[in-house]
Amino acid sequence: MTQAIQIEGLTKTYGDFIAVDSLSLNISRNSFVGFLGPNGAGKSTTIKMLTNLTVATSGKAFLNGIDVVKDPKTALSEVGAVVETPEFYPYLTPDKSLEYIAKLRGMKKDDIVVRTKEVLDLVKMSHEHDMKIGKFSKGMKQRVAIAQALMFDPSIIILDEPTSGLDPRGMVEVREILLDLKKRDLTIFMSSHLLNEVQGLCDSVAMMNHGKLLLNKSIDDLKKELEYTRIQVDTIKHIDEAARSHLSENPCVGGVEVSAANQIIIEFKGGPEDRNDLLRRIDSELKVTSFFEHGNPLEEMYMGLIKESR
Amino acid sequence: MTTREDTPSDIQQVCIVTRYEIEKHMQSRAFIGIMALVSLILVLLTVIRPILGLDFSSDSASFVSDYVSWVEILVLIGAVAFASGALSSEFEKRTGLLMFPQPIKRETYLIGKYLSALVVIGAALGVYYIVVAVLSLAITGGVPATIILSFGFAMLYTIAACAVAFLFSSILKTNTASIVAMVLVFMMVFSIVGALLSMSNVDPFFMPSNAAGAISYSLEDPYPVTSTTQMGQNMSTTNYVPSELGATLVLLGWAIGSLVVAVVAFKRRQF
Ligand SMILES: Nc1ncnc2c1ncn2[C@@H]1O[C@H](COP(=O)(O)OP(=O)(O)OP(=O)(O)O)[C@@H](O)[C@H]1O
Ligand SMILES: [Mg+2]
Repeated sequence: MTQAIQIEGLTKTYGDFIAVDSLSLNISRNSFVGFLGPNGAGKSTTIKMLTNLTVATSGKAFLNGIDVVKDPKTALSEVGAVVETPEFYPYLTPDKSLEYIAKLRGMKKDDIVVRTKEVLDLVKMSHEHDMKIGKFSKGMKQRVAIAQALMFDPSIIILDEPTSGLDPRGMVEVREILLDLKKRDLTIFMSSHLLNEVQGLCDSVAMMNHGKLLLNKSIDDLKKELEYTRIQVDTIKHIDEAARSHLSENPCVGGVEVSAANQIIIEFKGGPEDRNDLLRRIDSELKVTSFFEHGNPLEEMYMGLIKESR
Repeated sequence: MTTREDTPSDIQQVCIVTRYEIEKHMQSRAFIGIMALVSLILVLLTVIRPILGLDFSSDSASFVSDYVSWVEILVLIGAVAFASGALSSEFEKRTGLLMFPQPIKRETYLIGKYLSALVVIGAALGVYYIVVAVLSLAITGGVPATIILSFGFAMLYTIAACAVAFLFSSILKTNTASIVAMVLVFMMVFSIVGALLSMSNVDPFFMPSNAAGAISYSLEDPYPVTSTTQMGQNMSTTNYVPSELGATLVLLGWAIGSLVVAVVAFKRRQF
């Protein structure tokens, strides 16, 4: 079976600058892939080459097996996309804008009416369905943009920072929509800077920096690979140097960082028994008030990789 | 779910784009503006004469000709309003981010937009000509049949002017630049070059603004021809009148040439 998205040696140069450097990446059907990387890494440029917004300097990209450079019309026929923060025609309403795009895609009139209501409900914009978009805020436009991408039940969804510009509630709502889509028979490729969002939603992550792919792994594998978990411990007693060095002698502890007078962050490796043992020891010595995993594995991995590739 | 098979053909998509772009234009301030301008010209030309105590021409052709002399400028304003921003704004205003990832060829999109500009300007011109015909009937008791020919040339000029506007719009970064280029080229470059050519006794038949002269000339029956007036011993001025066929071919030539370049530039342009 063909991959949903297949990228082969894709390159984009602007003059001498290489924005995307022979990127190869396969995204299989029904997967939800997070696309990570620092600002300027080349994420949007990659997504633009996939969506007919920019022409690749060299290399190939296939959507559902169809070459998007040679035949963008067919390749994009089952793809819904939100790239950066798109704008709508200011004089049109959400209803009209969705109708326009749905007609271009060949949706039937009755389906358009039903589906427009559904997707605008989904992004909580049904109230504004017949207001001119010109007056909308950035987040409101982003919601309509997401509605537009879902309108025709695509088999591939490509999103470039979909929650950017949304208020906290909007972010939660969009995350819920995406979580719901995950149950369906479709592929999602989403760039994001929100690592918690990616960890909560995605099955796997692809990460790039300086136009190159650094990693492409499932979240589960990432968790397994990560050597240490960081545990933050707050105590009643003051943590002095003696207590610190005593802790680092524990075989399950990789490193100890005193982050405040009454707080340490421990790099921990081991099973639940070891963890319980560690907690008891610190408690008896320093009196623990809280003990929890600090940060998220994706973040650790991200920071590590970006540091290396600088 | 819509699939590959549901995606309409290119021709169907041209019609869809045209329809929605027309709707977009109709909702825009530019449309209100051009209709206001049409009304203003009509009212001024009809009201000022009686106020100044001047009589209307009793000959219907020359009555209509007073009004038709404003058509050229109306066409240019229409092209600036509905064509100059058509492509550049997709990039400048970022609406392309929404539209280009849809399953539609860029050229389909361009042609649909071009047709919509023609329809909207054509509608404004149509209203203008109809009101002029009604006024002519009411005031002179007749309407010259040649008014239809004049409308035809006005549309041909629209076809050429919009194509040139699309050309600028496909190349230049901003709407403003595209509008400025259009105004400079049509109001200055073409006029100056046309005038200089005439002065050096070269027929500027290939200039769009010269060909646009057919909008007014076509009202005259019979259609006028190029004439030279002797002014003193060594001086003569020639009034180059474009032939009907010549004007048609020149305007269509500009339209096709500009559109081809616009399509190529628009397809290559990227975010
Ligand atoms: N049109 C352009 N002309 C020149 N350089 C460009 C152009 N578009 C992007 N770049 C450069 O390409 C690089 C990658 O940009 P891109 O937008 O893909 O980054 P990104 O990973 O999406 O970053 P962010 O997280 O900030 O959105 C950047 O260094 C940018 O300056
Ligand atoms: Mg980006």
